[in-house]
Amino acid sequence: MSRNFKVQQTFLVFNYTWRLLRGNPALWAIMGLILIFSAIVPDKFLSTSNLVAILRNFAVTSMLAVGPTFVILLGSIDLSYMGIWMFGGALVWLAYPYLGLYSIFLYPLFGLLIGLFNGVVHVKAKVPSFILTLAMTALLAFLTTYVRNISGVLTLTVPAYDFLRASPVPYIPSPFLLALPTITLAIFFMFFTKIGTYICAIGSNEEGARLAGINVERYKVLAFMISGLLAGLGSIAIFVHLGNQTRVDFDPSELIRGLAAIVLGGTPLAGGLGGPHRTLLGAMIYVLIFNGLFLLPGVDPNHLKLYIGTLLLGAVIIASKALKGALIA
Amino acid sequence: MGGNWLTREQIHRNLNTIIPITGLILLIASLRLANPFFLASWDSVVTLVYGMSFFLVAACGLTLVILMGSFDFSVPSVLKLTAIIFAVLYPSIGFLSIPAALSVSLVFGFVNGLLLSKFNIPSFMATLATSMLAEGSAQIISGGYTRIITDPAFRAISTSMVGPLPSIFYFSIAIWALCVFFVLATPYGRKIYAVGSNLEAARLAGINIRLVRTSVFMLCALFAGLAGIFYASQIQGAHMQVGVLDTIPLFASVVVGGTALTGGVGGVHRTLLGVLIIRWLDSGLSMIAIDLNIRMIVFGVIAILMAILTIDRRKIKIVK
Repeated sequence: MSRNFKVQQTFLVFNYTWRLLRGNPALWAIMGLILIFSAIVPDKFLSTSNLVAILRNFAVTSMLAVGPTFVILLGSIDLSYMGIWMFGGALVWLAYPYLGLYSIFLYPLFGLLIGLFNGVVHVKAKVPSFILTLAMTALLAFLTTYVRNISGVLTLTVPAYDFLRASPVPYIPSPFLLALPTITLAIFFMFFTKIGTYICAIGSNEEGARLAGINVERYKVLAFMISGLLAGLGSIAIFVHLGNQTRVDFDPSELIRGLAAIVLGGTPLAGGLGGPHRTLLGAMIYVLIFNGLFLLPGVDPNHLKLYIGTLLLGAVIIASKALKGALIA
Repeated sequence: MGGNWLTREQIHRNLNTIIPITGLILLIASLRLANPFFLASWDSVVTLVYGMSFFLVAACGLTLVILMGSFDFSVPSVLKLTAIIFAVLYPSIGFLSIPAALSVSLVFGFVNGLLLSKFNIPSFMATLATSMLAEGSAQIISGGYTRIITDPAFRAISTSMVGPLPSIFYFSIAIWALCVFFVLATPYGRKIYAVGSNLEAARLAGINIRLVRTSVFMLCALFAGLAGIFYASQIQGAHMQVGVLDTIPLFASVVVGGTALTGGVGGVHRTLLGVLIIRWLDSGLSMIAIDLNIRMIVFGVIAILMAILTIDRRKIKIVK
């Protein structure tokens, strides 16, 4: 009897694992990448410092990508995360003399406000979200450069947060620990509130969701607000990762980093499917690819943009299978 | 028309014509007030023409794509790539480098169009990825160095004076006029409008939407390439910063002219107005020493406001 139960339990665990693997091809990709790179360059890839670097980069990439996932679930797109990251840091730098250590909380607050603004303008004025949020990012990025230029300093660094850079756990970098609250919050919104379900419903069929009695406009604005909030909260980890400073020059390849993580994780751009949990896997794939790639002999870091473009292109082509049927502009 | 052409509804419907024209008049007036030397001498006119001409060519291509309801991020990157290929190949193969550079830009346009129409990838995503490819190729081809061509023949393409104005002016106006003719007066142009207004209806009406979309993306990339060649000739060479700061002004000039982002509304003829406004505003603001970053922010805000005003809300129900 007990032996039978044990067999059944083992079978259940096996069955559950199999279903998890089948539902998330990203997991296969992660395992494959780890196997490939540890086979080719085991001494470099599996060294402690490299594994710590992978965790660090995973924290940064996932923090860029987790927030916008909620908007991509709608079928829209939110590119404002980079602007929130850049100008939020400038805000922290500007406010530090007045607010002291509390000024770091301006990051999520600012993100939330930008998300609210994006959502309201997108829903009420019906501006296509990608151009609205891209303009927002460009605007905030140029504003950050302007703040840097008139302030007369080279970088917008706040040295008082140096205590955040030392991790209390050995081998776990502090950006990773700082990323955990954002990840938890994203999982909470997705699976423990009705917001996640409603956003998915709107993404798969907006008209149907409206007829089912969902207040589509409210949940669209909410998705943008969650995206902004998570981008702001996550930017704290990136802020600390960069040495308590923000980026002051705009680079589109950083913008693509977040998008690539989302698409690689298996959230199609048409929306309605996937979620932040998949984006975490996508971020891991992205980090493993670029970490392992530059360990290989003969790979030129100057060609980074070429590799990023190719990766994004490949990812969207694979993901486009989910878009069959609908006509896309 | 009669006597009631200025009713409130008429004004609202023609906002995308009224705003650019009033804006242009107000702009010239205020720039003259702020700086009495603005457009005061023929030299300043020629300088403005240099600033606008290559820009107009690239903006024409982008307008075609936006008219179709898509978007092309890769215009500045393709412009940079063709300028660099032209400048790098010129010392060895001379003017044969023009067709070589243009064919590379056509390949990029073809890939963009294919990604959209065959693989069904949203155009902004596809062009974002291909713009990275163009940037990376430009980096590899130029090696990151600035290429300077001292050959007078290289420079003559854009800067030889025909009458009072440089040749680049005539080239760009000719390309613009050709574009206007094709968009407004040929079946092909009507197809672009049809695809932009309603993709599904256009497909059901028997238009080969795959062909139209791919060819428009190829035209856009071709114009970006031509703009790159004119610009390289104008500045006697090419470097990695070409086109970097053109993304927002390009987008702004198309939208400020009155072409709606949702497609099917506006036209290439309007883009001339938009380019005039944006480039004059640019030079006017820099004359009164406004920081480059602030100028970009101004363009971005103007573009978004104009996009909000010009979108045809009766047509769209769901906007992504």
